[in-house]
Amino acid sequence: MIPPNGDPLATKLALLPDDPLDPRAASRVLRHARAVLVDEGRPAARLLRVWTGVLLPAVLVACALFYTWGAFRTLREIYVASR
Amino acid sequence: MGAEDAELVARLRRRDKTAFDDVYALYHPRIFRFLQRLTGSRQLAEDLFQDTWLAAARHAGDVTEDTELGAWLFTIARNRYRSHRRWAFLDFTQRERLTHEPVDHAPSPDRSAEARAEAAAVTEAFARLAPAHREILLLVVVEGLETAQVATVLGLKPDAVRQRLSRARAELAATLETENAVARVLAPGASR
Repeated sequence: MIPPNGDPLATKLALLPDDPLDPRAASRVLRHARAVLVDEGRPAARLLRVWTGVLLPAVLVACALFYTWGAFRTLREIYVASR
Repeated sequence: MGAEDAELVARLRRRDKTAFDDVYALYHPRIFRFLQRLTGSRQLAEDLFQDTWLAAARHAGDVTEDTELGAWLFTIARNRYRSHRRWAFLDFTQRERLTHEPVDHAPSPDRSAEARAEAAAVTEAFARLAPAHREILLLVVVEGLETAQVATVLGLKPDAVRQRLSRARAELAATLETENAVARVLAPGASR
């Protein structure tokens, strides 16, 4: 923590609770995080990230555009047929 | 960014486990303290702390070369807290908690009664501040982040950071003043 440096507000804020994390809890979190770090580095995880981050949104947008285009085309055909 | 930080970032981009351990050793006490003081709840702070580091591990390979590690980690922690607040707001059972967040008073027994009372008053006053004011005070005054770093964490321009900090300081000073006035009135032996 930064020492108060004569700032009265910093001196006050230094009084806020500061109970360090239990070392066992800290180790547990680190273990979980390490496992995630290793998992996320695997090629399958990278592929999944590309799929969910880029490909899936692109497929959904393409579907939406195709559906809109199809709807307009159908409406136009109905309009033309009714004249 | 220092050369040491730059080297750590480069290793982190390669998902180097020892680099992650170093980052954790360097920053985990500060991130926990920030969350504990921001939330006012040790239990919630522990949950958000775990979420923060899992997210950091998940995105470690995506950091850019010029990433400031401290700002990056505080950003994740702050976003986890904001996300928690958003979900809690939708949960009617937790709305009351959000309007006035409870504070875990755990004064250390070695402090004098007066010092404990003062710490409790500061903790109470701090918990009454708007979350935006709490976070900026913690980042600037307690954690000592530079204005540019705080701007990155909060997604603000440096001028907006300075303005918000000034408002936060004024709000805390006013809240403390009000609490002191109330304490003086309620103190035993106060003139009636």
